[in-house]
Amino acid sequence: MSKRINDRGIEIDLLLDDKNLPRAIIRLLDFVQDFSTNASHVNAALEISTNQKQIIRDQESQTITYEQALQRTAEITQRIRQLKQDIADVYLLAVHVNAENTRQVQTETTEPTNVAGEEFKETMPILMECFGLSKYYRKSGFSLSGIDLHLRLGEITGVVGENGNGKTTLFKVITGNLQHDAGVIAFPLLQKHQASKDKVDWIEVKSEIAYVEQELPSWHGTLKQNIHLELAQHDIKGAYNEQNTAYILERLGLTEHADKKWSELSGGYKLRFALAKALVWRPKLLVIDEPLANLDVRSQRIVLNDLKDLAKSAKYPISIIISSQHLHEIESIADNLMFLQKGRMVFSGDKNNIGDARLHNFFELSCVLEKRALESLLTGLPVSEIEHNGLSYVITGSKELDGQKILETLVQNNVEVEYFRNISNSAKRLFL
Amino acid sequence: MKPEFLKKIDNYLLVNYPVLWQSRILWVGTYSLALFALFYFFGDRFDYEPYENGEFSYYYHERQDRVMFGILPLFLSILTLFYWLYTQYQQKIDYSKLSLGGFTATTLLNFACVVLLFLPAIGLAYSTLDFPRNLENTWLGIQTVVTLATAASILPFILRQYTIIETVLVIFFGFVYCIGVALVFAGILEVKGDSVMVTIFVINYLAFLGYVLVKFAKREITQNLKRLALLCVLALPLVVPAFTYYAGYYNYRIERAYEYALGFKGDPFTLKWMVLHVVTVLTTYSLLAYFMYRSMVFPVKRK
Repeated sequence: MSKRINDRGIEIDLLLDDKNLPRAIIRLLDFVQDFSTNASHVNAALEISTNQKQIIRDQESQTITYEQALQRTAEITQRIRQLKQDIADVYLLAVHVNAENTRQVQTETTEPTNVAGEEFKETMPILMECFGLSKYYRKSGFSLSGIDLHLRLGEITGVVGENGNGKTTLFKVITGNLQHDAGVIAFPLLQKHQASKDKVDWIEVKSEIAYVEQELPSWHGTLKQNIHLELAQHDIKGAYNEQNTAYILERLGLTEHADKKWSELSGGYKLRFALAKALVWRPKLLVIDEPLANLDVRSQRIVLNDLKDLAKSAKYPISIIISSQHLHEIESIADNLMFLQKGRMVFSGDKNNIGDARLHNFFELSCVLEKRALESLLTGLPVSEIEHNGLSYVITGSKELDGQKILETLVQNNVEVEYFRNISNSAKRLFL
Repeated sequence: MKPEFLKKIDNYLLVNYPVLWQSRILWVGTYSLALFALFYFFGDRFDYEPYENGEFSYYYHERQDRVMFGILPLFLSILTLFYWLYTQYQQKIDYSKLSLGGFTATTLLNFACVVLLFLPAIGLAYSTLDFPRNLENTWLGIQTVVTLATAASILPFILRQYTIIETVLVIFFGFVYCIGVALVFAGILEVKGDSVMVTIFVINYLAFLGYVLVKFAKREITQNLKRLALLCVLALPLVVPAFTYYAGYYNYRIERAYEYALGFKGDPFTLKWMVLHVVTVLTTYSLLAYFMYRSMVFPVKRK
């Protein structure tokens, strides 16, 4: 129990030591959310975040000198450490007098992976499970079939596959927007009054699911109004509504855009708004369809980091299922992966198990060499095939083929390597 | 043009009472009551008084008045009603947690907004129209529109299930279908008598409504079924007068039932009209909204 808060505290300290103040503040906001029920702590964290942004603005407009900025940054750093310590003291005291509320106790049993690691993974409650799920479109002839999937609280599941392979169909079935033709779907954690396993009370279940569609629907009014409305509809009203709105806007970097309308926001901010709207009422399942499609690299990183942090919240962990064509990015945050090919599930499970049963190793290489020259260079290695996919070479070899040996050979022959990656255990090899 | 204190009230409603906020009753009520008061107390100043203009001018100006202060404001009110429906289309509100009482209250709230939208027209007509027949005709026009506009009370619950063009097409093809039925029965099969024709339409309506309700109950919902449901919902105010005829009101005269309900003839805004045609429709809408909205939360079948 105390290990968790200590670990999170150390994470913030390390970020401060690295002078990564923006990230430290984001994690402080998560820290406050997870370990404090005191509104003044939330307000203090929001104030720190606002002050830090003001320093950046002042620096940019040159209204303060470099030294002044450094001094104010140091003050902010000190305030972060102090606030973090205050929260930790209160939290640990509360633990000692056994004053945690029920929800905190409940989430203790669902220890998130960032703290506890693999040994707790199996103890996370299953939020959704489906077996043999199928959907057939008579008009187009496309069918999604044989889908077995488990979603657990606090885990991120990435769904990958080429366009038109059934990712959106799967999401629509999971979110209760589309009726499946065969198979069983159940939400053990969301359905309190479960009459039978194959009968889902969608009214109850949907009240815990947030779905961010690929085509973000436009909205009316200001961004802030929409967040207020979303919260009020989930019975979070009055002062809590105001506080939660301020928190989520600051947490997702939307405070400066709070009074903007749909047409005034860029694609990245529209997605962040959609996430804010989806996350602000703390759903238990978040379904996101192709969120990275129209984002620049920086926005992608921000969004993925946010998803990773929020999924593994200590107090309000959520299960996230996300689809994307950005394999590397999805792999970096997902705990589990599902690969769909022509509507069929080719792989589903822990991402670390991809390629476990493989017979070959696969490497991606980008360099200036021509194929024949590369083949002659790697002659001594157990390479069975070299293929150029238009962007890079894919080197296939026996399981004894080692990436380090390939690199050594290339470096010894003065070949400039632009890109190299072992994809033997990556979802990318599933696309080969 | 939004006063600051109203913005604060609006924000309070948004944060605490989302359904009330969504109905826009604050803005509809404020502007409608303000315009009603303005027109009611000062409307007469825009108008020529009959006794000042001699006999010829009396009839001439009164004819103009009916258009200017009766029909035109009614037309503008109908436009504001469409705008109000558009505002209901803009936000997605989750009503699934509402009880039947909640659905009834929200239906009444929506109807209150509809009525408020016609207040300025009522105020202007009352203030400016001096010729009693003009005034009566205007009331009857407003009653017709309000009777049909009760359908707008249920639309906020279901409007987002359709695109705007889809809604327009559903209404258009509904008309086409009705004309087709009339042509077949009255024209080809030579069925005579208003009451027989109305009964054919009512049986047809009940068959469609029954089909929709059964399919909704079985959760076998497709987009085409939703379109048929929209048509049934919109047609309800036109069907209810037939039932007052079957129940023996209006001396078993079908044409009277429609004349009194839709205001083509008779005393406008009577208690009888209120109970038979507004309360009945709104009660039915509450039940339908509760049943249909909750059914539509369930997954849709798509081929």
